[in-house]
Amino acid sequence: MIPRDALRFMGVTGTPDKEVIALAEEAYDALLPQISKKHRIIISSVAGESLDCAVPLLGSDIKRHLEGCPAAAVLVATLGAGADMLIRRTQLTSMAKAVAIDAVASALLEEYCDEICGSIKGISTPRFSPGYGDFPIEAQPFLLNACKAHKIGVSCLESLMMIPSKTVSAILGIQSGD
Amino acid sequence: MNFFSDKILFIDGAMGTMLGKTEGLPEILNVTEPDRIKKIHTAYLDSGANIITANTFGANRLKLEGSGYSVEQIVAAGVQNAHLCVSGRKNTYTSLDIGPLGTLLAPMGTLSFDEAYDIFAQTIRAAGDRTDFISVETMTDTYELKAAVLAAKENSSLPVIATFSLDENGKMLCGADIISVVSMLEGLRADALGLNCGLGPKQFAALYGTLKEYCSIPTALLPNAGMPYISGGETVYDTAAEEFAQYMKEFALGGVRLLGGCCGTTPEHIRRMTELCEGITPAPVTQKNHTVVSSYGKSVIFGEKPLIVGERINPTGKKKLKEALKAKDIDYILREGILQTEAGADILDVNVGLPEIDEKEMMERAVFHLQSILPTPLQLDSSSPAVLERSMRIYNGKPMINSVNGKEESMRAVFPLVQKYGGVVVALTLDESGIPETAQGRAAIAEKIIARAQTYGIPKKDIVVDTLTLTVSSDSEAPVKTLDALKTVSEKLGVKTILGVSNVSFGIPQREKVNRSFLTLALCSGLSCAILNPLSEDMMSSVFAFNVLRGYDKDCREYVKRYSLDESVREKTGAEDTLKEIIISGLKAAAYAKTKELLAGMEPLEIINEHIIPALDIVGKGFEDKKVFLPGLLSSAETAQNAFEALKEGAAAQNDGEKIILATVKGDIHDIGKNIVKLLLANYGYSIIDLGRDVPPEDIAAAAKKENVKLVGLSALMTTTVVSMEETIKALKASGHKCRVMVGGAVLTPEYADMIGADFYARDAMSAVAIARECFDVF
Repeated sequence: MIPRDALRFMGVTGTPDKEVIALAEEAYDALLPQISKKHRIIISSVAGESLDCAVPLLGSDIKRHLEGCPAAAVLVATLGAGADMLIRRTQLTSMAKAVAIDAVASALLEEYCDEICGSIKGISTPRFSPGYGDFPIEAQPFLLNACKAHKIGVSCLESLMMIPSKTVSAILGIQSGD
Repeated sequence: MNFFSDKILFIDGAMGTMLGKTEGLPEILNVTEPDRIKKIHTAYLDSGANIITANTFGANRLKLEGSGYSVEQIVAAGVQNAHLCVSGRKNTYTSLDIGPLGTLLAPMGTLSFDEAYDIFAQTIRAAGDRTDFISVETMTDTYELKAAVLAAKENSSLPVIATFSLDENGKMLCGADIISVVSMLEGLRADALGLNCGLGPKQFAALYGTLKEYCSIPTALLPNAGMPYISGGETVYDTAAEEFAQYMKEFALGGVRLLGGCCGTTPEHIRRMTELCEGITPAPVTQKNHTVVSSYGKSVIFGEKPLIVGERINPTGKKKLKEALKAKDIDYILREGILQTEAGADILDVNVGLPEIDEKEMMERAVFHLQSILPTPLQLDSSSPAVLERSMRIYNGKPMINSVNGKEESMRAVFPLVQKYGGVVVALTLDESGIPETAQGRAAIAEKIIARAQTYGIPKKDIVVDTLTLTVSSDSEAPVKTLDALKTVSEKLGVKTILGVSNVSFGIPQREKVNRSFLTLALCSGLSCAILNPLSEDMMSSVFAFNVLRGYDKDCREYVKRYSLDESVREKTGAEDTLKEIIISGLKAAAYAKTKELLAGMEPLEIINEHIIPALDIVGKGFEDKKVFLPGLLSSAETAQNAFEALKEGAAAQNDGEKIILATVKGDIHDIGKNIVKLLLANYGYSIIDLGRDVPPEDIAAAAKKENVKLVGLSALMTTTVVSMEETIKALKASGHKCRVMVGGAVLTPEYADMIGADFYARDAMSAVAIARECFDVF
């Protein structure tokens, strides 16, 4: 029930004891009703220094990531603002539970992204996000604009941090023509 | 007189769809390619649209920044273009178009409500009332929607059409349901309201029923041309003009007054719609009588079942709350809010009236923070109109207001506020002559208040009458009078009612016994809403039992859920363990009692040094050795907190630990790490000044100087906000105040910490504790 990476994100290594597992399950139960999963995805041709949808491929790592791919998918996925409010609220009554909810939410988000990527034909690379390698965080607004992320309530602050906080933006390479 | 109440009007379709791909912002075309815009306006007018919306959807200073054009230029051109197109045509109007700002308001983001208001106001003033209406559209957040509508109402005299967007579940992106938004918009005096974008007419049809059921003003629907799908690399919408028009015809027959189209619609869609709707007479707009209060996302409807208003956030007779208010301990207020909500409160009363503090400032803070963590609607409680005004202004939703009474002065001060901001107002049945002796007397005052409210356009459904609970020990007839008045007001005047019951037992022993019975009697006399302490089992059990006996609790489900003993959950009690062991094991529930036990034979300082600190040190070491993980560390820390609570109650207020400032720097809104450090440091006796998140460097420097703080902890999560850390350290140095800085956050390294001039680098939560200890030993 609790997502695969949840315990790891909670900082737990080795064999977890039953208190920690109970905490993760409590966190999961509190979180589920507050989540509103939404995503936007567009497919675009790779055109050398950028994607056709006006996303610049800055640095060399993203270009290497997309090597051999004629097209790419730009993805933005979020769990919504409800998760943030729950984490804020829980910090006032139990930091331990808040940390657990934060971790479970991140793990759920990864699972959600895996689901979305799994459903697109021809995806041939893992997710590559602004901030990875030498792909600068400054690329963030371009990904969000390309996907019209505001339609799912996602935007980024001046600091380029995305809000709501449980949001992922990424580029994936597509091999076969689709 | 509502402009839209006797007409059906057709609004234009999409501008964006017709423009196609544009170089840069589409609003710039108002100046660079006015003919292209006018051509689209004309096409819609030729298709039968009565209202064209100017091309000003994104014409605000946030979006236009760096474009080379000012808001005033773009808006003036947009309004002019629209104006030229309707010129000479009959029964046509123009509307200024206001769309979302593209960023989230605080607390989710960093844009304040006041700033957002200002940005909208600028665009509206730039249009100078040169259009016929103002359309606020495509809003997905109630707070932003409020800022825009308020800006329109305060900076123009034009009718305002407010439409918002829902997802397939019928919710706004911020989480709001239809009823919450409708209540808020009606309170803000929108002239018409409805839905636009997001969905097609088929989905709107499923949602319109609820909208109509709760809305007492003309409605507007502007759906997309169906749902989008990708075809040949392009976005295409699945509802063609004919089908679209059929749906719109049904809507017109069903009472919708403003009909138009959003994304994907074309002049063809509008033409077919106006053709099919030809000759339909407008169905009357009817008054709905639901009494509703709302938060950003939750609506609470006054039905048959009594509502519970939590009374705990009120300093009268509450020593701890008074101390918290004086110390500006917002967290204390927030915890009271959470506890009451979890205990079953439907609405929370918020009163921070204390002569020693700045009530207006504290009320604003309390409301802002409460509504950022809880979906529970609030009852704004103050005897100062200025305090009510500010809190009503920044409230996200439609609040309850406590209170107005029959005195001229009160009605003149409070009713204009309710008229402007909306709200459900508690009306006390007293006036210049005092509190009437008889039930008839109180009912007469209620009538007077209701009649006066009407003159402000405040309907009876937004008044909740309080027939005043007086003390039985000073007048044995008092409860009977209150209840008779309650019955009269409820039955004869048909208005909702509220009472605070605890007054009745003032001065007599075992007050709860009388309070709970009085509550039951009041509920039987038709009480809609009770102000009480939701943490009191006596009071809550009375409500739950009443609901069972009245048939409001179907199959006794709620009652059984609350009162059946759950055998399966048996927490390890820890009664046999020492306090030290209890903290190490993280047995939160046991710590308080155990500490009280120890206090019988030990001094607080002994308990701290022999049990609490050693326990925390053992757990801390375990964390460092990777035998204990973060959840365990925090459980122990929270258990220690409970122990400290017990100690604090015994001793005089001792907040004399070394002061440490903690803050998440400007531009950054992640604060879990900082809050973990706060918890741990507090356990070790440090006095924490938490400045929150997104804190400007100057504020941190000023606070350090003012409070003479020797250690400042800064947190940042991103490479982009680490820059603010550097600026903050510079600001601290420049202030001349001598102090040390520790920094932490996932993105930091010891090298970077060094580079920006920090004194310490905190690798993890426990490191912060080690640093504090080192720091204050040296100092």
